Amino acid sequence: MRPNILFINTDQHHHNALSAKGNKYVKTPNIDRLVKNGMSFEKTYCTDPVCAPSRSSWICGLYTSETGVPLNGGRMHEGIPDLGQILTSNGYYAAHCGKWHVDGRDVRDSFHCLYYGNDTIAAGGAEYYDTTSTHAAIDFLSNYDKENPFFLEIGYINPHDICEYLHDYEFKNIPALEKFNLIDEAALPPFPTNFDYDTNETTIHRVCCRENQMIHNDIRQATDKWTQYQWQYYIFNYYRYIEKADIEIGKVLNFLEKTGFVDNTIIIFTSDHGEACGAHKMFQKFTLYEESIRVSFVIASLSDKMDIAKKHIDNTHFISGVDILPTVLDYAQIDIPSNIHGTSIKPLAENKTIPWRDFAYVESNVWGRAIITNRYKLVTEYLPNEDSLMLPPNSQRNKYGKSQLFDLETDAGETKNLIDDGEYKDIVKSLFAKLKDHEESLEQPMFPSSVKSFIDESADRMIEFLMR
Amino acid sequence: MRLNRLRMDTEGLHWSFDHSYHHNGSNNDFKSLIYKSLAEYTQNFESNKTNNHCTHEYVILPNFWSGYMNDSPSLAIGGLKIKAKTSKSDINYHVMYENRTTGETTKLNFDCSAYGIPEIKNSWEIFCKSKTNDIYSSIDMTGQIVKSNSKTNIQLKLSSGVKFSAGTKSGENPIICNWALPNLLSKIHNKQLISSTFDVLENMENLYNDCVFKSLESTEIQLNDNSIVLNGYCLYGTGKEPSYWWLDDNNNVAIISTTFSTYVLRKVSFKEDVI
Repeated sequence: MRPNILFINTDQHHHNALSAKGNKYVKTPNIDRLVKNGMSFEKTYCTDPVCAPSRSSWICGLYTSETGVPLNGGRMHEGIPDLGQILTSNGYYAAHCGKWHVDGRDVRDSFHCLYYGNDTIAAGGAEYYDTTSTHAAIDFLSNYDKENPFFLEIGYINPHDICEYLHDYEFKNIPALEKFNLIDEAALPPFPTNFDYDTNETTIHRVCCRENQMIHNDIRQATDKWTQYQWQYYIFNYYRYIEKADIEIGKVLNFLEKTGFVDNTIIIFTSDHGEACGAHKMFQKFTLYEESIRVSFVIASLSDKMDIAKKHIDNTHFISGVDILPTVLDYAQIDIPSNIHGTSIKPLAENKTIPWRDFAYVESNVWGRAIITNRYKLVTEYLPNEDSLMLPPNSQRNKYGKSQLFDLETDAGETKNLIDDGEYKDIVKSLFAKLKDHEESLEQPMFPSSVKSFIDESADRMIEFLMR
Repeated sequence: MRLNRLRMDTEGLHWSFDHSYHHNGSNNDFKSLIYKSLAEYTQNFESNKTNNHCTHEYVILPNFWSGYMNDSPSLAIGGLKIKAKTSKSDINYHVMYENRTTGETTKLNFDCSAYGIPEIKNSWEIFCKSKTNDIYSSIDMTGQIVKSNSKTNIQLKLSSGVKFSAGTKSGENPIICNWALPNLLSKIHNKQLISSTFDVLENMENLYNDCVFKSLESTEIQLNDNSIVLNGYCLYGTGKEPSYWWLDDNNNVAIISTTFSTYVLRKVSFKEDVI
């Protein structure tokens, strides 16, 4: 019998923000329950640390330079089959509620839509939508009586509401709240130990996220004046939004447990990207630092009847957002398309040994790239080539710009850029070779016109920055 | 072209509920809607009147464009009506919360203690109806608090009969519905109760543990004919990001500001009302 599949995702939830991982400043008993009832993959990376790009990879198993959604506001290329379409055409009832945010692909065309807001759910608004998404999911689980197995995606928006917390700082002077003594010092999360940042970051990172940045510059200007307390207070707020999502997830799990579906339902939990939480003096996402790109990934079952390793933490395998689609299809016993990059995690969740990739590959802001291996992480960028601006950059048609190398074993906070240290020359060379090899497997059609303005402006700013 | 960003907080609204800027591009004026609602409330409020029936009506304003229905003629995205009927030792609440952005209307019916901390008593009812074109249309639940040994369980029951837990808690904190918090806050402000931790059952289904009200500061809003002094409190707890609650000298919560919404009081009536 083919299993039901419940895909629960949160938004902007970085990998370490779970009490199951020892974080004592956030309480997530319900996601922790999934961790206890399944296999957690610690080396999980999104394909791109922004909502729409990352989610485009989830639904088709391709990287964001291939999907047409390298940015929020991209447009998924027509003709790429998505998860909902594949499941439906192979006998599954594919249902969705909550956040979708795959630009250029209407969720209502690919899934049975249980709930998607009164109009559509865009990027944010957990306060509005998340509880109603839970209602829709419970209503579905309560009434589903078809013979087909189901796939149900619940897209929770929290903790993405932290973005609006930050947007509040764009236009008004919110005082340093320590003067009101609102929160006990002991309850505040600690100030990040890796708050300082490498001044030799990639050009695209600097033009997007640092001086006169393209993305959320008004928030940047406000945070420049923040006290340590204000950074801690922001992280305190972020953890509350995570707890909100956890409470919603708890209701769904508790309800599932009371239905006849529990013994035949696989639960997959992950998030689309992380959140900087002040690391490297950053907020939100958009960067290739660990806080922004690393997420949780759990495959679980609340029953003992499914073949899933329980209470198991996998620290070995690199998991990517491109693995969602093949994993779901593998559980659903549907052939996996040959032209995708992801690999089914099902054998790993069953504690089987199979050949696996030895790195993660992440794209960011069109030009940025990262390769993460067991010990080292290379962050680099492509420089704009005016002959091929609307083609995804790669080593065939673009030159490399600035790069960073981090030793994650000795410097987990990514505070020491080793790129110019001659001792690491061979490592850098091998990482660039790995990047080049991997790119050869990508099929990267022209970007959609909807991202042209970002590409033009970012290219201009990068060139201007490099000319200084 | 980069917009000239005005610093609005010097122009009359407290920073905790001033979201004017995010609506500057529209014909709707966030600030004027706050003034209009509060003026309507203060002009019609009969401060010397009491009754065992009391209904508070709020207009809900979106703090950001995200989630706001662009085709709506008004910036307001919905309304909240809290009807309280006091009898002997209980207060019976009927609450209706309508949000056009979500498309969902929620109706609650619950009891709480009239004396001291307004903690939840007895069982309650939740009815939610969705007006969207999607498959989900309604959910109908009852709830009750079930205590066993050291654990307290919030048990919900669907109309189909399936029971499930909406959350558990340990410890002795009282459980209070978020829409009974104005009652609690006025007692804290008037020193009838000492502020201590409590658990919030939001919309009678989301349990937030270890919440607390912390005093913030006072602010004054100048209306046409009069002014209104507001005493600010910050509410937070597990799963409850800080929100700001502003109590006036008539013991009415006039403004509640959460991440996405600003609830502004527009009417208090003392007659029996049907929701």
